[in-house]
Amino acid sequence: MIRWLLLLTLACACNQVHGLDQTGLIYDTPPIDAPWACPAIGTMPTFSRQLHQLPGRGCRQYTFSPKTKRAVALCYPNGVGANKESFVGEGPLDDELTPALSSPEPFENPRLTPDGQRLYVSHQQGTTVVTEQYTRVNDTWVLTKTNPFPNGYISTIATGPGGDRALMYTGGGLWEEWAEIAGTWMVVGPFDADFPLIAPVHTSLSLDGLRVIFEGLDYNDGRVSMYYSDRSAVDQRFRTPVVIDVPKSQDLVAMTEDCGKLYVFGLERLFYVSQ
Amino acid sequence: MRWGWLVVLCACNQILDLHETSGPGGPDAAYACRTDRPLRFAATLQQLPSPDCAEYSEAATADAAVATCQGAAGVTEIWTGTRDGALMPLRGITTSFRYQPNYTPRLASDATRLYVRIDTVDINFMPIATRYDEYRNGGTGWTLVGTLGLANQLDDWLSNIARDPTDRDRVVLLRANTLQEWSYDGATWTPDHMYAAGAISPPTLRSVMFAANGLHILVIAVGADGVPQVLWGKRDSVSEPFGTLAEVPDLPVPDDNTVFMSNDCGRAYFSGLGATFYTHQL
Repeated sequence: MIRWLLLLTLACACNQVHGLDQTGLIYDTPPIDAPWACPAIGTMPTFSRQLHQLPGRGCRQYTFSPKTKRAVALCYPNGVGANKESFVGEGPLDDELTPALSSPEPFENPRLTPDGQRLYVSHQQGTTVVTEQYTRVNDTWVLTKTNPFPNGYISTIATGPGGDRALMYTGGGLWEEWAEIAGTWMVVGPFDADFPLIAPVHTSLSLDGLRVIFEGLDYNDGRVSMYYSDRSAVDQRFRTPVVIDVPKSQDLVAMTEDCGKLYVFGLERLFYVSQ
Repeated sequence: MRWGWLVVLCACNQILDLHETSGPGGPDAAYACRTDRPLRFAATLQQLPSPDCAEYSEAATADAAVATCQGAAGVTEIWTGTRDGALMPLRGITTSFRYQPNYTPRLASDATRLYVRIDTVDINFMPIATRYDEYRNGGTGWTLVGTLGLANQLDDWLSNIARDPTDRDRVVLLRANTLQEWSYDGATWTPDHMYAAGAISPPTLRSVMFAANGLHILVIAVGADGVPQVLWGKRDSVSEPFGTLAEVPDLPVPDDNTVFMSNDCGRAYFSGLGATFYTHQL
């Protein structure tokens, strides 16, 4: 018994003498015995209110590819908001983004496809919104299509057996669901049926297309909140959205594939909260 | 054998979770409101413990802070506590307007008085009148004692309250893009310096705050390109007006337009994403 106590004491002392860190609760990684997973359809995911800041600054409207762990965003060399000089940045989500596309016209709404191989971005030309599709070729982006869909106001992009899909704002508070079928984007879904209260903005569709998080104004009491909804299959309607207790992002949110992290934007910085 | 005791002593720290002693050199030098270089802040933010709060500011000479926080059923409440500590709902003050963008709660320098903006709204929740209610803390709670006469117009913005080197409480009132400095002798508010629109900054202003005993000022102004920015100015004495303000590029413009800087200029506080943060001076 004494020998064991002495060994325990020595083991503890090793940490102290050698300056090793103590183990402790780590908030941003899943427990070993309980990996993060999306809750069942019909159950809202829950997130901590502890915000973890990522190092990148000067960009907004982040979307990222779960497969490549890379992101695109609108970046402003002179600070977020100085919208006369911007470029589309690309790089690892947890690092500074570097210029991928630049244009004399300010870019808007960059969206990366889930496989990280295509990028949609729009910009205003006079009174017209032009949307462009770029394809990754080695380390560069090549323009491969113009106006693949009517406007650039789309949610983050989901994927699935039928191809990529997104929710698209069509004006007047209305949204449609679109999918790329055999290389052509077209209306497919019944998205708008169960969203009676609000015109969603900053709409984020989960990678599997089954969950959506957005900011919305409740006309009943004037409150702006974050909402969540889900559905059991992509050909089903979304359930009536409910308020979700997550930070009110000033921009797009993005949820990881396992619903373990939710990326939010505010104060000119990118943060995430953990499940 | 003597080494064995060292090992055992080290182990005690580990088992009992005692903190290690810090290395040589002692604490860092205190922050100071330096005037020999531009004001800069770190990019990394530290989060305060109370969620869903905004409009954070502190009393100038007392260990007290105030903010607006989301209470039960989403009703905005005035919460107070110690600096950087957890905030709690303040007894004696309830607000029921969910549609008011700012309450700008302001503690007097010694935290015995509190001013809260209250808007009156019409049937469409549009503000039609405003006032600043004045509360006093009698030791057992806060009591409404009147209104602050100097701020009563819809576009008024009242700064936090500084304690200036002449031992007077001091505020800046933003009204119609002009700035008015007022000082309080314990009974009466008296106007001091007046700044016309555009005199020391771009002409369109959103907010103004004091720091460093009223010797520093933070203003959120909209630049010529339409982008809001945080500006900063300093002076050597409250008897002189502020000169042209300079940009502080590290500070974001938060939704509540409230950027509070501690009296030693060591920290800047602001809120967003349902949390309040501070960043250190560089």
